[in-house]
Amino acid sequence: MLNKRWFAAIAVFAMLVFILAGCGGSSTDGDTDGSNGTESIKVAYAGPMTGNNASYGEDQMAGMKMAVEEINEAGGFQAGPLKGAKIEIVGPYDDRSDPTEAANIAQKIVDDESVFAYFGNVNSSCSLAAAPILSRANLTMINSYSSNPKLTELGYMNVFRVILDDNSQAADIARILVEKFGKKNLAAVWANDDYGRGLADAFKVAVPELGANLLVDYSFTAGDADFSVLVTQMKDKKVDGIALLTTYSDGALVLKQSKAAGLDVGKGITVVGTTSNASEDFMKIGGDATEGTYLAAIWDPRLNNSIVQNFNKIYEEKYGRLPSEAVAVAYDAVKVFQKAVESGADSRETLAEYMRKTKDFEGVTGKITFNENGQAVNKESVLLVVKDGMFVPNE
Amino acid sequence: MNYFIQQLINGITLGGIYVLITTGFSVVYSVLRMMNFAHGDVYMFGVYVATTLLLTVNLNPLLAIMVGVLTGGILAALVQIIGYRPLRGAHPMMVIVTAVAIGWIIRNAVQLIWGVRNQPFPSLLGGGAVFHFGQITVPLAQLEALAFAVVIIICFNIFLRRHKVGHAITMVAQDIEVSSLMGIPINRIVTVVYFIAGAMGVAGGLLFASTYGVIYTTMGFNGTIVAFTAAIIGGMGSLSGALVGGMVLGLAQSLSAAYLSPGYRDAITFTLLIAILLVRPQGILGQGKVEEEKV
Repeated sequence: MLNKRWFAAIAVFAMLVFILAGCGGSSTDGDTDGSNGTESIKVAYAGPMTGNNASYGEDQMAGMKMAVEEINEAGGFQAGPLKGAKIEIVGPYDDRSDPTEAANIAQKIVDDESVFAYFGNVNSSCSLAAAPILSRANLTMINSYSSNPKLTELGYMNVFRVILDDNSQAADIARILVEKFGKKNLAAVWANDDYGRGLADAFKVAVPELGANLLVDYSFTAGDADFSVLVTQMKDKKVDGIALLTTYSDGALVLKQSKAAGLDVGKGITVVGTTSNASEDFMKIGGDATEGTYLAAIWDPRLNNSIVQNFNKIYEEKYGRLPSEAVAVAYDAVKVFQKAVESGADSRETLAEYMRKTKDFEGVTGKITFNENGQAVNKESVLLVVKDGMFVPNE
Repeated sequence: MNYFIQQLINGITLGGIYVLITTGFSVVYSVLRMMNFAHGDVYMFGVYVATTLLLTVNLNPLLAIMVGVLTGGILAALVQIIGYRPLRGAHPMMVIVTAVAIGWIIRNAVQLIWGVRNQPFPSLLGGGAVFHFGQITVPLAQLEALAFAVVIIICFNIFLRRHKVGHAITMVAQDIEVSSLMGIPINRIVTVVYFIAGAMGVAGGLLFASTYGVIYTTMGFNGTIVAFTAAIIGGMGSLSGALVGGMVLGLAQSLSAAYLSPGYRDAITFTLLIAILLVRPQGILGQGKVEEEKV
């Protein structure tokens, strides 16, 4: 018995030594690469590359690559102390939508001192796990997909978000359901994680203010596929509007199962979803049950303006399909970063200061202005509707 | 009242699917006293094969399902022959670790072959019809899924009671050494047991996919957790225990979501599990004492 304990103790000690040696190794690597000249600077990307949210991660990476290639092909940064330097993407680091993994990755990235800026993550839970680690190391996080309000409300001076947060999004969805479509008896569906809770909290504040009733308030654990309980509740309460405060796979399943049980979703019952439902997989999984669903989107490739159309053309040539909003916001994140570097940022430490000065930056997804918290303000959401199995801007 | 009955039907449907999944897990335990933590991933593989045949190859649905069920059975038997048989007599922990590892290998293989995104699954049952009974409306698909689950369980029970191989399985479950002395080919019987477990798992997985309309690579692992929990609730290794455990779990999940908060669905499931372990560690229908571990 004693022998076994000793053996276990030695094994644990040996493991610790290995782990510490591993950490030390990577940080010295960072030191040697740290003295980069103006040839290239490194930016890291972390997001979900496997799992349910992999399509967001892939799309974000694609948008980032597109912006970086554009900058590099034009000869690197056009102005500022780093003029002529090119950008090199480190990653993608796969956080698998797991906050623990995201924290580990953030630690690994800050240990590499040659990394100039951090892009990511997708899930709010992951971004919230990474932000304090990045902030302590003065590494700037430029986020373009997590929308939990907390991310820019916790006082991190190095966090910037180029999209609207959930408070604005959830209030928008409530307004659309009640004011635009005149629905009064509502259901809210949300995943019990940071993303869902943030939306649901704001939605629950907005609904009574608009004079409507929230009759069904349904949260679920990520990975649940059985929504029969929710469907029965919605039938029982005779709801006339559903807020899908979910991501695409869950949102689509809710509609598919509702329709199978005889609920008139998309016609008699108005459905408005978050921008996170804006994936082709939404229609693929939900089938014709998604027809007539509205989404309060961040952006849409069919918007009729020249910046968007030009952006589409370049992306389509490379990937053979229209860019998603995840692509566009990631692209904008890099372009805002470019602007900050060109206007004077020359190190990890000075980047945040120049990022904060961004005002009326003309991005693909609209004008970007940061408030003192690093939150983009005054952007407008775009109302989309599923028509013949496609998202189209609502006329 | 109508609301209650509808939620009850939701729970029974979920429970019926859980029973199928749990039976496969439990029958393996009854024979070898081994917790097959690869059970869910094995049947998930079968479900993916059936889905591909159904949607990509456009095979006849009945044929696709049969091939999927056979694939699950054969994979389960193979896993047993390659992974578990060499470990017979080893420490139970070794077998559990091996099973978890095999589950991972299968899951990653599925992710490599079919990708990580959730995929739609067509409703094979009901044809989108809704069943009206007074004020109560239930999708026909739910009722049919339940009916299938019941039929499969009954057939399996008849097989165990009437067929020669069924008798052999029952006997091996009672005493593997004596059975071997009586001339029962243990290895062959064990392989048959795994085959049945895998095949029934695929049947449960397909009913799940058809009822809720989606398949995903973690559905198998979730299924393993369900089977493990339900088996403990009902009584590990007992078939009637699997029936009771699966049904209790399905009902508990649906009714707690309907009447308490859906966000507490998992918390309530595990509270139930802990309560059973404290009050009746052998499970609701388990034998008098907790059986000693042997492999």
